[in-house]
Amino acid sequence: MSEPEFKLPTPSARELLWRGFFSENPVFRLALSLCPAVAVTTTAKNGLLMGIAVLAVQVLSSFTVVCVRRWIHDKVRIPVYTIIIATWVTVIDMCCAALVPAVYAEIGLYIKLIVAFAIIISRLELFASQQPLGPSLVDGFAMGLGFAFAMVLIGSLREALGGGTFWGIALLPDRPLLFLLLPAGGFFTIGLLMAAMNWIDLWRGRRLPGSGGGHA
Amino acid sequence: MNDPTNQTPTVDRREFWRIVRSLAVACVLAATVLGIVFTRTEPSIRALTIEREQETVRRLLDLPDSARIDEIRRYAGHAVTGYLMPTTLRVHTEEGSLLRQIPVPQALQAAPAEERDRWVTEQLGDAELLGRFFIGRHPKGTVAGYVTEASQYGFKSLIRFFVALNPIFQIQGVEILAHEEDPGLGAEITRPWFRNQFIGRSVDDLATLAVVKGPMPADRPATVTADTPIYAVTGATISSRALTDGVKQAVAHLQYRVRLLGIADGGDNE
Amino acid sequence: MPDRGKIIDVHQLAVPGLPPTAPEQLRLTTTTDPDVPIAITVVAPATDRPETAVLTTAATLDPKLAYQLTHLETGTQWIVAPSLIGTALTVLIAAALVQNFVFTRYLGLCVFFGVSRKRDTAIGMGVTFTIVGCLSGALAWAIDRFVLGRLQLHFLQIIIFIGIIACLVQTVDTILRKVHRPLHRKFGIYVVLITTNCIILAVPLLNALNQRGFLESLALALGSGLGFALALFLMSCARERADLAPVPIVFRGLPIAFILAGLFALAFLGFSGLRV
Repeated sequence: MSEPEFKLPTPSARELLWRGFFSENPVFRLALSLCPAVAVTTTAKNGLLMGIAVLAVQVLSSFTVVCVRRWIHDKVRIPVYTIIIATWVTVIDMCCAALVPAVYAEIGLYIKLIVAFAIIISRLELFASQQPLGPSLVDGFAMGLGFAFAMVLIGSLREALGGGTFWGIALLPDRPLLFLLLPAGGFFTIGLLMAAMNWIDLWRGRRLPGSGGGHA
Repeated sequence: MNDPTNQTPTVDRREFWRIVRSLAVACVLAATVLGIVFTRTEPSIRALTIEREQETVRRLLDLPDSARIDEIRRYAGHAVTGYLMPTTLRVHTEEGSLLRQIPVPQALQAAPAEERDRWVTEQLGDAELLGRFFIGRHPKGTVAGYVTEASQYGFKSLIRFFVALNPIFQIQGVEILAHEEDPGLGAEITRPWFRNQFIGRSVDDLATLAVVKGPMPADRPATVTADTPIYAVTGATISSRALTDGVKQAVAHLQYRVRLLGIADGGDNE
Repeated sequence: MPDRGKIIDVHQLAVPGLPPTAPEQLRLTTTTDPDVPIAITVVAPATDRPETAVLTTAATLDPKLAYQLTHLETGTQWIVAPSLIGTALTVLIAAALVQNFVFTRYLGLCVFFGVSRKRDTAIGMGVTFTIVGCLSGALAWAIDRFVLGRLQLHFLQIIIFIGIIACLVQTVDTILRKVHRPLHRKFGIYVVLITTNCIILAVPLLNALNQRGFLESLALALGSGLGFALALFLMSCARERADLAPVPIVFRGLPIAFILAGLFALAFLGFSGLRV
């Protein structure tokens, strides 16, 4: 059982949502779970589906951890969290293959890799293992939503500028920046969006977050 | 993470067993949940795969939903080749002469592919599934066309595709099933403008078919002649050439097998 | 054990020990299509090698495929295939450079951006990851082939692989701590971080998906590790320099690191032309 030395105050739902979307956005701010952010975001649709999958795994895992944390031995808490995540990921993997096979063909491998996403386990460890059920679910939901939001944003930009389409609809006559669809383009897009978020912060008169990047 | 440096080196025995029990219970529970979900979703995943395949075959051959699609599975045994037709298993020597025909038991004819594979393995002693092709039939039973599954190494890894042919072995369509080419470059081979360039080519045309670099001219005539080349995707000549080579080979192999099995003459109108 | 032939040109095949024979006496096929013969147009003695014949085919030959040649009268067989070591080497180089896991498959990015700030940590992580990655790749291959494959339990793949990796990381950590304390002090932290690196999970999953043999699986594990180490090292060098450069304030820290990674990814695109 986890016994934090001091009980963290439980933040409000609005605060949690704001954190997930902007101030602690898992992709742009915490730089966690980046693999899919670059890999599957060549179209906005793929980004959205991946985002939904992560959202589902995050909420389900948070829920499970809150329910069973009383019986989890503290020393093996990380392995048990991993098992919980792996189970939900496999369940979603199989359901995805059964229900939306066309999409699964494209993002199959990355769904399996959700297991190793640091964002999910870090939310379980930092939040769901200590807070009550309601806020834990909201936190999982907010983080998943923030992740999905980031994925759709990156996907839309890459699809529009790189492929000249948006949600599969032809937008531009040509493909102006074809390289955005390549791996390199994914890195550039995220780099620029991170800088844009910093710029928004600067403009709103807040200090910049420490030039981070140490999160694993 | 569990910081190992803070762990006391001596965990007492009862504690140890509690840890083990905690982990074991978690594992068993997880495996149970997965087992249940697997048994629930597996049949529908399998059915969906077959359904999608049949749909692709029908679309490529332009057949109505009522049309019958026969699947022919090809196996390699000890120096023999087995062709599993809907109702018979034909065993040929590698050189092509027919050794024997074994009727497929009624119960197996509609069984899942894995069960039929197992049956073939029993019949041939040892068999490895090497490939498949499909025969599309009109409601009356006459051959409407063929679709073969094939693969070829592209720029990054294997490109898997279907080639559809009409009864006189002209290409009716090419469909890419799976690939790992770069989006925006090699992945463009999946676009209709590229793969439709194959339509209408005959076996003889394919022998001399060339792949040229550069964008397709706007005034390319809609009907291809024997010397109309395949215009490669800009920046992805290797992928384009790979698919073309794969199509050439797939068509040649299919024609050889269809003749060997006597399907075209209506000799094996099952 | 049949003799080995060699593809020397797109239409030519050198076969040692083949006496002058009429093309009709020979049967050349690929191992995946043993029922369809490939037409041989000319059989001529090789000019540069003794007791070797050169076959010319009408169709193009692919050095990545395996072929078999049979002499119909004597029944002698030759195999023309990429050697096992050659295939493994191809997989290794492809995994390290052409399809570098970080720059073209975008895996392991969390750890990549986390530990590429200093050159020392980059080297430490790279070395540790390569070693543990090889161990887990080999172990996962064995369990997948001999346990999951036999029992038809493929749906448990993810959970088993994760379990293997978690156990292995704990074991390596414990052994290192007991056996070599200074080494543990230096590398222990990286060992623990490995579990969050998705490359280590992707390698066994890819091996299982492609049904690779042991040597190839090991080559993929080693190649991915070396590729990751190389990416980390290059990136850390660049980031150390970027720290000293006047970077616009909004780009400082992670954004510039992503731009750098993008530039590296563009540079690695050059390796795609490499035919191995």
